Amino acid sequence: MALGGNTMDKKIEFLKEVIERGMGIYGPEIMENMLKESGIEMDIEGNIIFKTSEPEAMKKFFDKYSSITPVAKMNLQMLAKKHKILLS
Amino acid sequence: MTTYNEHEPHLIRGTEDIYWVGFADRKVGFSNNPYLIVDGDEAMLIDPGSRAPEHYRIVHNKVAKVLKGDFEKIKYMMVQHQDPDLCAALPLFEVIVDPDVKIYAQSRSALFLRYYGVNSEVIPIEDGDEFIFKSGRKLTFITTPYVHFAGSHVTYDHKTKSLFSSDIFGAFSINWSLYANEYYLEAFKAFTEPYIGSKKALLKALEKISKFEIKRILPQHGSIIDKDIDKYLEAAKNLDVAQWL
Repeated sequence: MALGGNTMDKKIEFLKEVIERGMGIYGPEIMENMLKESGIEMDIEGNIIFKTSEPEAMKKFFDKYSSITPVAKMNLQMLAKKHKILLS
Repeated sequence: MTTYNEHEPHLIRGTEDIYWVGFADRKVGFSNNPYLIVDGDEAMLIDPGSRAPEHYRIVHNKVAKVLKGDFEKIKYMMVQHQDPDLCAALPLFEVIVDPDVKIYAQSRSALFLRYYGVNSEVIPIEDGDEFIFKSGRKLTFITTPYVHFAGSHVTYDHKTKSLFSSDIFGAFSINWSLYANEYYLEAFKAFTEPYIGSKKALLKALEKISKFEIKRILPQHGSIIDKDIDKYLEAAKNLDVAQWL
């Protein structure tokens, strides 16, 4: 799952809300591992740092996020609608 | 911190006679929370749940433990809307509980219960109706139309100031705990935002609920909320519902 045709600011705002939502769905331990394995870090001020290329990291993260339980995929799709983000 | 064994029935903290008899499906992140009120020699089973054998067996065994096998103590069952995760087990329970069991459901849900194969008397309820146990203990039914179904209602127990909130304040979480943890607000959003289609309906439901003094919220899914009730009521008002259009 990747993001196409969206501005970087929009993508980051979306990603932050997806991560926040994931803390409720998965809890901090699974979320932290998921981010790490995807090459994404969040610093203490909430800034997002990509350890690899941004599209690759996001794709990896969203694939993992939506593959564990359908309720996470449902939320990902809904938040994408809310942020007017195109998921492909 | 309350310790509990999720494989056993659990007496809800701060109450003397309300039991959680549910289970958590951690693979999906979806818990089912039927509750049992035991009031003297009468019991009411609330939202008995799924009929899938692996689910029903758990609820059945937990109820049996609380009632020491005396299922006929269950004189009443109540379902707070018509969905299968609340109602499908009704026909399985109705053949082992009191033969004169009465089933309470909001009028717009009541008409669907026959489709589960329910044969017992179904009492349709309207907004503000009251149920009174032999002891005098009172429950008030509060309809919450379109949150998330036209036939939804919630129930307030005056004795313990508990709100059985059905799907309102429910949650999706693999990180489930019986009592709400610090991440519950997001888990609550994860369940509620995708399933409620009208902000107007949600605000109306919250307005009606807020008239009661609430000490604890007992949702049908997710975790029990008995701290920071106002925080959750306020968060509910600000949910981004009906985004999936």
